[in-house]
Amino acid sequence: MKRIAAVMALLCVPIALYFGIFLYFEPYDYFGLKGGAVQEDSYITRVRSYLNDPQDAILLGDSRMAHFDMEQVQQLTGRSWANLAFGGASMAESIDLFYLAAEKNPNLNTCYFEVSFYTLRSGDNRNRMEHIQTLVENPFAYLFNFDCNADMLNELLLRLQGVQTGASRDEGHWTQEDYVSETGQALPYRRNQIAYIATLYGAGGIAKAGTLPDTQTDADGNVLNAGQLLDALQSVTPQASDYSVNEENLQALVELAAFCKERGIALTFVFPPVDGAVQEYLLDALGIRDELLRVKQTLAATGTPIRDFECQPEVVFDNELFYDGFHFDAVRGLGNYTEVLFAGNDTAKEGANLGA
Amino acid sequence: MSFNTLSFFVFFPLCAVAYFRVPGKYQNAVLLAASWLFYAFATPAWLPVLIADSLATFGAVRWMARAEGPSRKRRLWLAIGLNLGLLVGLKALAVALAGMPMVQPVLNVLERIGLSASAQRFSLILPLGISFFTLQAIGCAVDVYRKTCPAPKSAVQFCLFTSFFGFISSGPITRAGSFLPQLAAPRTFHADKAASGLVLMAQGLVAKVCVADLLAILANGVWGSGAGAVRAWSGPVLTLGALAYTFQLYFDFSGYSMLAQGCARVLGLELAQNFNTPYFSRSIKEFWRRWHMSLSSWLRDYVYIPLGGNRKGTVRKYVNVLLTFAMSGLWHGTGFTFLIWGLLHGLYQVVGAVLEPLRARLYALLHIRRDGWAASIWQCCITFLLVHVAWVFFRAPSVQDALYALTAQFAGGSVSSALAQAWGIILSGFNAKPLLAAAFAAFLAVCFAACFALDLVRRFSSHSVQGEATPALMSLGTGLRWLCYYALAGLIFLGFLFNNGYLTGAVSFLYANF
Repeated sequence: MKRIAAVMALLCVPIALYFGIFLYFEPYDYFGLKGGAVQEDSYITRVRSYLNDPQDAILLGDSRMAHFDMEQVQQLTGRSWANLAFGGASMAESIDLFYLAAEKNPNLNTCYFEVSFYTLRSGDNRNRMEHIQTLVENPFAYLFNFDCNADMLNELLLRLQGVQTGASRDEGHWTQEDYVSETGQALPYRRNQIAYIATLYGAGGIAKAGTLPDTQTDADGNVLNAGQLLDALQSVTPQASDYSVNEENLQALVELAAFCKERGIALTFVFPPVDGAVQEYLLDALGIRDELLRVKQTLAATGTPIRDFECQPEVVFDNELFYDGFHFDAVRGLGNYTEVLFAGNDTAKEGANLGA
Repeated sequence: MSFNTLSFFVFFPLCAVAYFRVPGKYQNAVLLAASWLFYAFATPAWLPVLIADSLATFGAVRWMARAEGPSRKRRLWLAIGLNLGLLVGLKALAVALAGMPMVQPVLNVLERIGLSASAQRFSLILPLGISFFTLQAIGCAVDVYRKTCPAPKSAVQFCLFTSFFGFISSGPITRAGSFLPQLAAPRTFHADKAASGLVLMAQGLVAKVCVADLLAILANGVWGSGAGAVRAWSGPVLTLGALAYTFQLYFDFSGYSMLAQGCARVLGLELAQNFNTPYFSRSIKEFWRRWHMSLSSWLRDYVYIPLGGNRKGTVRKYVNVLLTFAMSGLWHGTGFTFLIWGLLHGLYQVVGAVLEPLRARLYALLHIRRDGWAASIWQCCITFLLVHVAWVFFRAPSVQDALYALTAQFAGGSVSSALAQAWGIILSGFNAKPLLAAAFAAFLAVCFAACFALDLVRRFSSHSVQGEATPALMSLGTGLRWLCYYALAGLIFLGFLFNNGYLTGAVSFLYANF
């Protein structure tokens, strides 16, 4: 039996070597051994970081909540926050992640939870939480996850090439040319902002198929038919809308609010800002704002504070501060928004408690 | 817990160490405890039923063995009725209760105790291996009745015969006469046997993890998850999807069987071979001597022969063949598609027998040797095609989908567009990263070729023993042998990676669903 065990051990040597390389180059600092992750904004990094060191205040949502400078947030609020938002997170995933966070940290007392027309649309039924939870709670599932191994190998290759790796920032360098269409016509918004609305139209559960022409881009991703898209957008009516609220998720938010009230967690629903193009050519043109109002009223009825920058914006941000329709420019706009959202808000600060 | 999960990789060595460390008289008890623990991981709610069925059958068989004449026969029917009733009753219950609306708290409780598969509607989880351990128990009862096997003396041995983790989930269906005598004497550890068993397990893992599970991506992409999903495709992409399933099923099940045989061999027990390169068969009759051999021999001995076999005239023989294969179909599943699959195979054999004189005359007329290489290749191709067509019914969620899949592949579309669509299915599984998808396709091709080569060795090599490639591998020189070991380990490791870490929540073996 010892001989068999020795043979098996010898066979495992290359695998052990591979995992040694994996642990050195994995970009998520999964085991908390490296003092920081290369891919800081990945859900693996964030949820693992939270499991290793849970904070009492959390942010949840998709990419529009994911890129805050958390040091700035800490300065503004006087406390540490865990940012559990990640790009592409669906509403169902954010809700499940909330409950996971609450389960793992009985001291959780503050939560900023993103709500948006986009994440509440009926077309989005994704829920990868089972997979995510397996990945973050089971080291073996992580070690053998194909995507994670591919990311590790990618990181290894980049490091060997001397490329600086790390999270990317949405930072644009716009000029007047970005406000000119393919026919020389002046555009009210940048070409990429117009193209972004077209992307949203095609996302499923927003507008009927074929409402807008296809977006044409060059090899660098620059949009070539912004003028054509704008013309189509200007003639959109609510009849083109395919939007409806995911009532199950809305009800889940109401239940989440009740859960927070019961547990004394200071919950705030945040409707994140969108640029003027989205306001005009999507929310108003398709009549989605009315549905959003209903959502807001439903959530307000739970007694939960709401910070609304989308439906009836309490602050309107200049279009120049946005990188695209949904996301702030990391240099121009994000810090601005962070201050507005976190500064001077009692519920964001230490010890806030709505009471049981 | 399944053979391709991390928990099994921990469970099995611990079990083997405990098994060989205890004094010989306790080995069976240790193995039985381990088997029940294995069962409890899968369907814990049904463990009492397995134990009760085993003990009840043991009692019934021993009671039968004490009688003679009509009384003996009545007691035999009691033993058969116990197990057949359990098998048919639970399967009928599952069908009757499927989708039944229930109040949520009740559903939650049923899901928590492992009786229901769905949190929204009731979906009965059947006991793991019910189709296998009931047939084994029935087989034992009939063998004891026929006096071809002595009645089991030890309840522990008999319970181990019905519950052994090596074969409970998907066979091979083992005969009491071959397994119980092995349990009668203590087993000692043999390094050579253990090595042979581990190599066999490695081959099984390659077949399952590196080929079957990866082919499943393509097969499931075409067949979808519900009735009608296959209608999104047409042309040769349907052929590709059907072919993918044909090979997925083979490598999945044969891989499992190798794992079962291998882990039993490590423990000093020999199980019957279940697959012997069936896709190299030259006739449907030969196919059933090579595919799921334990089931086909069971059906022959306990259904076909008792029905009269070929002893009551030609017409009756054909009826018996059709009935036996109909039963085989229903054993696999309760839908019409399974029945049609079974009847198709029966029909193939009947038509084959009827046309045999014509075929013989044709070969003679064309001056072709029937056992020559050209004729053999032709026969293999035709047999494969017939089997492949039947598998379409086996896989399809409905008869209409099966017929659609069989006919629409000729409806148009080129091979290039089919390959493009298949590539699209693979690409979607890799978030549209072409390099990774290409690596996946290359890896699958390499593993498929490796398994095909091993099958060739099994079929044609003089070093293969009873259709196993392991002796051929073990007879290689040290350097080449270790290269093969590392190659197998590397392929298994990569296979698990491509399957996205399925050590922890393994893709189940297909035959565990029956």
